This record gives sequence, structure tokens and C-alpha cells, in this order.
Amino acid sequence: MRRLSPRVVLAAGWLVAFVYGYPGRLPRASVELFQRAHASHPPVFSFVWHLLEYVVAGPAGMLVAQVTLAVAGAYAILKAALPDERAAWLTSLVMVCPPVLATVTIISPAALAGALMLFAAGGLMPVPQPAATRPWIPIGALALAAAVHPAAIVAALPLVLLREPPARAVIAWLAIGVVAVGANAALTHHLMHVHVHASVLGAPLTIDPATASDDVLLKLGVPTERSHLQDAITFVLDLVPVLYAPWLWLAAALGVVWLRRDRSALPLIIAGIAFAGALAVTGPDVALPLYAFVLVTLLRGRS
Amino acid sequence: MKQRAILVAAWLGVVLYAFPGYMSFDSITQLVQARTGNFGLGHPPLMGVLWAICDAIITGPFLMLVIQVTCFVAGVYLLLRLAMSERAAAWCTLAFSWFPPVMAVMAVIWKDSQMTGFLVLGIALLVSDRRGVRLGGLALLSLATAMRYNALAVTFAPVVLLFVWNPAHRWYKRYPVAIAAWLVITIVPAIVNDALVRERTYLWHESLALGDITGTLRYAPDLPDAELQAALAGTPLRVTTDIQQAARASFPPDAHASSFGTGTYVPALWATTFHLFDPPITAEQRTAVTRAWRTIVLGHPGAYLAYRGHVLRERLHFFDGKIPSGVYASFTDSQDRAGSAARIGHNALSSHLQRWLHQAMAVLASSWLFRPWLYLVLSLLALPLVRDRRVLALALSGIANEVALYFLAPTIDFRYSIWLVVTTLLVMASLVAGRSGRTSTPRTAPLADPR
Repeated sequence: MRRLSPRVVLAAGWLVAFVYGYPGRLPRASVELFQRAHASHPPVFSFVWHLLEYVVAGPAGMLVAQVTLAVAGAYAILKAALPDERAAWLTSLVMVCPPVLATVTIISPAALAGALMLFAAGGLMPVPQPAATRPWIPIGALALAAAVHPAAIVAALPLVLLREPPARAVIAWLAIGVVAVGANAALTHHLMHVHVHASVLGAPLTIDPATASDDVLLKLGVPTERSHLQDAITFVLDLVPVLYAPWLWLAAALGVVWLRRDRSALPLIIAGIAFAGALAVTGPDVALPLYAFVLVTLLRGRS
Repeated sequence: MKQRAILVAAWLGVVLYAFPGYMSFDSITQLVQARTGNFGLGHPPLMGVLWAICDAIITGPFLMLVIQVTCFVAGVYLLLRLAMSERAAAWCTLAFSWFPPVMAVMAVIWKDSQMTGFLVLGIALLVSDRRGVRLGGLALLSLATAMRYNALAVTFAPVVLLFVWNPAHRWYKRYPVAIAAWLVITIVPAIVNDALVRERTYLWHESLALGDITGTLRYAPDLPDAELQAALAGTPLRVTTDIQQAARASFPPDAHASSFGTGTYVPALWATTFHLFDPPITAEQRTAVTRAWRTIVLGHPGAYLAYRGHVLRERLHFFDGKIPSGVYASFTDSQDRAGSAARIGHNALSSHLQRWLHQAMAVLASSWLFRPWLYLVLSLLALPLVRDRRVLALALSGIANEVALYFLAPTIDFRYSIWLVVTTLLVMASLVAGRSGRTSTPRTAPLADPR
């Protein structure tokens, strides 16, 4: 039987997530953000969305960005320890794992931050033969993640430690924090302008967020129908609700580290836990990094 | 840039222009039929089945857009690759995919766009040196035939000239087999479409037949009322005296007639038609319409051809000063955006990129690029220069499309001529490549054999 190339396998994993999530699963807060009636999200998140809307209106561009970042990041992390083909198959496995699939397809700041952290971690993973690396790309992704969701600021430090020595890592981490806070502060005034006069989604709308319904979604250009396949996948994902319990993943994270003694993966686990822990402060949200980092660490094996 | 990257850019350009796919009243109706399974004959049921499958994976038009654009880009590239280098073929594919008259139609989920995608890929596969691939090409051509009635004329030349069951066959075996294949790919989709119909409609009796009678009466010699009353007996005739004068009269277009599209002659003809007739509602009335069509149209072929000539002239925009826009870019029915969005639970908004492209398209939409006569003239001029069987098949196919539409087109929509535009582009590119000696090594063993 002809073997599938890693690119095809990765595309398959990407496609499953895209089809399941299409055009992007919108929690209520994101719908309200759509309507520019919600001010609690970091402005950078709105700005990223605004930029993507130059090419694709609605949530689909964000979905493509999140899924692509997550696939690229998970593959890079796994490829650092495994052959290409195996890394590709395991990446697709990570993508279709219920907690990852259910969270990476949600269009929200936490999900985007999670996908960016995965991408950054992939770029920062120590590899046996370091090529001409460009650490500013993953560091930049981390800064963007931190700007998109404050929980990522906390989680960024262990990831920077993957590549940089402690002193430089702390400096880089501080820079990430400053850039994240500064970008939001700089954009706030500008973004108010965006909120009021331009759009995150085309023509300005004045809809009461409390009445978010099919009519509202349709006016926002968001389909209200889910396909049979999407319904079927949702049914499967809902079969074992315990899979989404944070305590289970925290226990799994600690267990992975203790059993495998994989020191190189320790920063990933710490970052995942830090992100989930920060969510306890910022409010319940999508803990994509926790699920994804535990899974990839588990699948990397003893490296 | 590698060929693959160029082709991805070609594909992406059309998809981003259209994302998630433009839909008109017809498209909305077809999507509703796909979801309910309540197929009629007004739209091809097989397209409804295809859409139902796509809709079960991703709701709305997106996967249909992906199918038609993917087939188109792949087919154009494979055909051009036979006439020029792979790199040149990729660049030409990009140019043709982004060519405004092509992109304007391929961006909308219409049977015309689906037919075009399946046709171009089907013909490209038909010239493969592997029989399985050639049969796949036939299957795609059959699917194209299922999409539009005029495809049966369009597939004749490519199948007869290009399909080879066995390269060892001589001409007296090869052509009968090819004609048999054409009959199969023409008859099978008709049977399948008919079997899928749940709600039988009589579009020909309710529209084209009545239009043909009215149009023919306009140019027929003066006929007495008694003769016409006999010929039209049993039809839902609204006028009982001065019938031919009524057929020659002009009426302001009403709501029904204005649904027959843009232009001047054709909407006016439909306005007159529906002042002359009510739509037939009983089997007896439909039988009477068929009988009247035979008596009047076949009895006055010159008048019928004159009336169809006027429709053709307006459809091709011969001698027209200003022409209506050939671009449709609405995510739901442009006549009822909110209502149609609610009907199908789907809507979309334009991105900034799409708005820029719409502005550019709006400038070109009434330009000479959207005048089909230009492509017809180019195809006819190119015909004597063609030396390659594949190119000849394409040229004849595009011209056959217009011949079929001469008799059958009810309106002057630009989308009807999309196949002529595509074949003209392919023929011209192949001729230019042939003249400049950029032909690649043929990969088509059957065609290399002059038998």
C-alpha cells in the first residue's frame, strides 16, 4: 500500500478540524464582539480579526488561522523528537482528540492565544541539529498570544526557557509582557474608532446583544445551520464529558512528567498548567494549551 | 514560482473572490430542493443530490464552490499542458481563472458553473492514455450533461473526436464506439434526473413553448383569426380576436415578465407572451400547447428562425451600445436578501478584498469583455487554423453550445455563454502556443495515432 506523505496526513488533520469548525464556532461573547457591543476582549484580538477580514469576512479566516497555527505548532513539537511521518500522523491524532478539536475551532481570544502558543512552542523546541533559527518568529507569536489573552503572559515564560538561557529568557519574557500590554494600550483608542466607525465585520450594526438569535447571526453573515457531519462529530465529542475536565488534564500532565521524566517537555507542561491556572483568575475559558501540550508531550515519548 | 504554487494561486484567487460562494434565486431554490429532496425539473435533480451531499459536510454553498473551481482549474491546466510547457500552462490557467468573464460566472453556484467545471475536466481526462482515466472523463461529461440540457450538444464533438476505447481500433470501430459512449452519457443522466423528480413541472409548456409561438407569430405572414383559433384551440389563450396583432404588440413588462432577465427585446417578448397566454395548468392545455407549437412553429420555420435570431442578437450583444452587467455577486438572492437568508439559514458578508474586487468587476461588467459575440467570432475565425484534433473538439464544442442556445435560450444571461468563452480562451492559447513551438510532449497515445 502506498504510504501517505506527511504533508497529506497533516492536511487531513487540518481538514477534519476545519470541516468540524466551519465557519468558526462562536461563543456568545464572540458574537457580541462581532456586534462591537462588548468591550472586555483585548483590543489586539479584535485588531487581528479586523486584519483577517480584509481577506475573508466573518469567522472563517480566524478558524483557518487558529487551526493552521495549531497544526504547524504540534507538528514542529513532535518533529523535534520523532521522524516526519510519525510526527504528522500524531499531529493529526492530536487535532482530532476531542478536547483539542472542540477548543481549537472556537473563535475566541483564549483559543487564538492557545494556537499561537502551540505555534511558538514548535519554533522554540530544542532540536538535535539547530538550523538557522529565527527565534523572533516564535517570540513574536508569544507576544501576540500574550496580547490576545492575558493568561498567555504567564504561560510564556516556560516556553521561552525552552530555547533561551534563564537570564535571556526572563528579559525576553518581560519584553513579551511589555509588548502585549503596550500593543493593547496603543490600540485601545484606535480600536474604539474601529468599533464605532469602521467594522470588524463590514457595515456597522446596532443590534441589542441580548437578542442574539438566528436573525442576528444571519445579519452578521454567519450561517445558522450546522451540517449533519458537524452534528455527528459534536455527538461523538459529547459522549465523554469527563474528557474536558481540567483536573483530569492537570493530573495527566503531572503523571506524564513524573512517569517519563522527560525534562525537555517540562516547560510545555508548565506552560499548559500556567495557562489553565491563569484562566482561574481571568475567568473560565478555553484551555487549549493545557490539552495540546499534555497530548504532544505524551506522544513524544522518552526523548 | 513552481507550477503547483501558481495553480494554488489561481484556485485561491477565485475562491477568495467568491467565498463562501455567491447564490442567486435559482441557487437558493436548488439548495432548498437539496435539503428537502423535493426535486422538480426546473433545476437538475442530480445537482441537487450533489449539493445535498456537500451540505451534509459543510452547510451552504462553500463545497459546491470548491468543486466547481477545483474542476475548472485542474481541467484547464491539464488541457493547456498538452499544448505548451507545464509552467506556461500554469500561468495561462491562472490568467484564465482570473479572467473577469470567467471568474464572474465560476464564483456563483449555478448549473452553468458546475457544467463548465465538469466539462473542462472531463475533456481533459478524455485524452489520457489510461482507459480508466478516460472513463472517468466520460463520467464527468455525463455529470455535466446532467447539469444543463445544452450540454448534450456541447459534449458531442469532444466525445466523438477524442474518446478512444482502444487505441488499436481503426476509425470504423473507433467512431461508432465513441458515438455509443456519447449516447450513454447523454441518456443516462436524463433518466436519472427524471427518476429523481418528485414534483413534476412543465417548464417548456409554461414558458419556452408559449414564447416560441408568440415570437413566431410576430414574423409569420398575416394569419386570419379563424386559422389561429383553430391552431390554438385548447391552449390557455387570453385573446380571442386580433390574435396576431396581440402577438406583435408591446406591453409594459409586468412582474412575471421581468423575472425573465435583462435586455429589451426578450423581456418585451415575455411581456407579450403572458398577455397572450395564461400558463397551462391541465394536461389537456399542455397537449394543446404542444400541438399549437407544432402547427405554428414548424409551419412557419422562417418566422421562427427570425424570432430566434433576434433573441440570439440580443444575447450575444451584437450591435448593442450599452449592455447589462454580466456580473452577479450576492451571497443570497439579490431580490430578497433577508428572506432568502432566513430560508436557508445562510448568509455572508463581503470582505474588504471582495469589495475591492466587486468595484473592479463593476467597471468591467458592461465592457466588451462581456459581449459573447466577440468570442463566437474568434472561435469561428480560429476554426480554419486548427490542426489539432483536441483543439478542434474544443472549438466545435463552444460553437455547438451557441447553436443549442440559439434554439433554447429563454433569456440573455451572460452565464449561458460561459462555455464559449472558456473554449475560445483554450483554443486561442493552444493556437498561439502551437505557432510559437512551445508544445510539450504529447501524453495522449490515442491521439498520436492518426487513425
